[in-house]
Amino acid sequence: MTDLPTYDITARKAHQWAMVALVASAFAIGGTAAAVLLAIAGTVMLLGRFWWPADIVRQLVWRVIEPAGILPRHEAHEDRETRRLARALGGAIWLSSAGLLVVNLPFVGWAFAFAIGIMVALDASVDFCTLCFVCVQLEHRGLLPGLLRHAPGRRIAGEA
Amino acid sequence: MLERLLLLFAFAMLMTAGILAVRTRAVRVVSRLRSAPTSPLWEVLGERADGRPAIILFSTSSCAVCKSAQIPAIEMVRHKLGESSVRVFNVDAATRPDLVKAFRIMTAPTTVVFTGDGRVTAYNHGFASAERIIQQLATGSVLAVPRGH
Repeated sequence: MTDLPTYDITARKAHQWAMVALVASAFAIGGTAAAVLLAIAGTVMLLGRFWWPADIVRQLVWRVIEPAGILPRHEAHEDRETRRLARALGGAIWLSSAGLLVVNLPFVGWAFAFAIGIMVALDASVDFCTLCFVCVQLEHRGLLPGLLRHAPGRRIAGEA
Repeated sequence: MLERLLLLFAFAMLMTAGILAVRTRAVRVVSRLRSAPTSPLWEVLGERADGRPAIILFSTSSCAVCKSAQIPAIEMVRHKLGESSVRVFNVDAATRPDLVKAFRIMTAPTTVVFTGDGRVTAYNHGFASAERIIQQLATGSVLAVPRGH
C-alpha cells in the first residue's frame, strides 16, 4: 500500500485566512471598494482552483514566506476533494455577492459573503467542515435531497 | 467605518465563543464516553470487545470526505499496524440513529477509537489522519507505534 498523499497545510491555512481578511476588509471599507475586494477574493478562490498560478496566496507562501522561514511548512494527509468543491462554490458565491453589492442589494450580498466567510474561518481555525455537518444533519433527518447523496458507502478493507 | 469595525469585532468574538462552546461540548462528550460503562456502547453496536483495539467510523452516503480521505486513512492504519490487529466498524450514521444517539455524533466522518478492553480512548469530529489515529491507539493501549510516527 502506497503512502497517502500529503499537502501543505500552512499554505492552505494562509490562503484561507487571507481570503477571510479580504472579505472582512471589504465589509469594513464599504462602498465601491467593497464590491471590488469581494470580487478579487471570489476570483482568487475560483480561478486559483483551476489554475495554480492564480492561487496568489499559496504562491506567496511557497515562494517567499516558507523559504524565508517566516512560517514553517507543515505537510499532512487531509481531505482535498471536498475543499476543492467548497472552494469553487465559495468563489462563485463571493463573486455573486460582489454583483449583489453593485446592484444595490447589500443585505443579501453580505449575508452570502459572511456565510462563506464563516465556513472558511471554521475550516482554517479548527478544520471543521460546515458543509459536511449540514449534510449529515439533513441526511439524519431524512431531508437531504436524493441528488446530493452519493453511491452506497464504500467498505473498508477488512472491516468487521 | 468605525461602526463596521466594531461589528466585525463583535462578530469575531461571537464566533470564537461559539467555537469554544462546541469544543467544550466535544471534551465533555469524550469524558462521558470514557467514564461511562463500556458494555452499553458495545451492546448498541451489537459487538463485544475482544482484546484488540477498535475504530468505529461514522459515515453517510453524502459524505465525500469519508470515501476520499477517511476510509483510505483507516486502511493505512490497518496496513501499518497489521491487518488483524485493529478492528474496524463502518457505520452509516443515517441508518443507525441508535448509535448516533449513543455516541453523540454531530458530523461525518467521526471516528471513535477504543482500547483493547473496550474503553473509548479518543473521539475525532471530522477527518482524522492515519498518523493521528495511530497515536490515539498507541496512547490508549499497549499497541506499538511503527517507526516514522
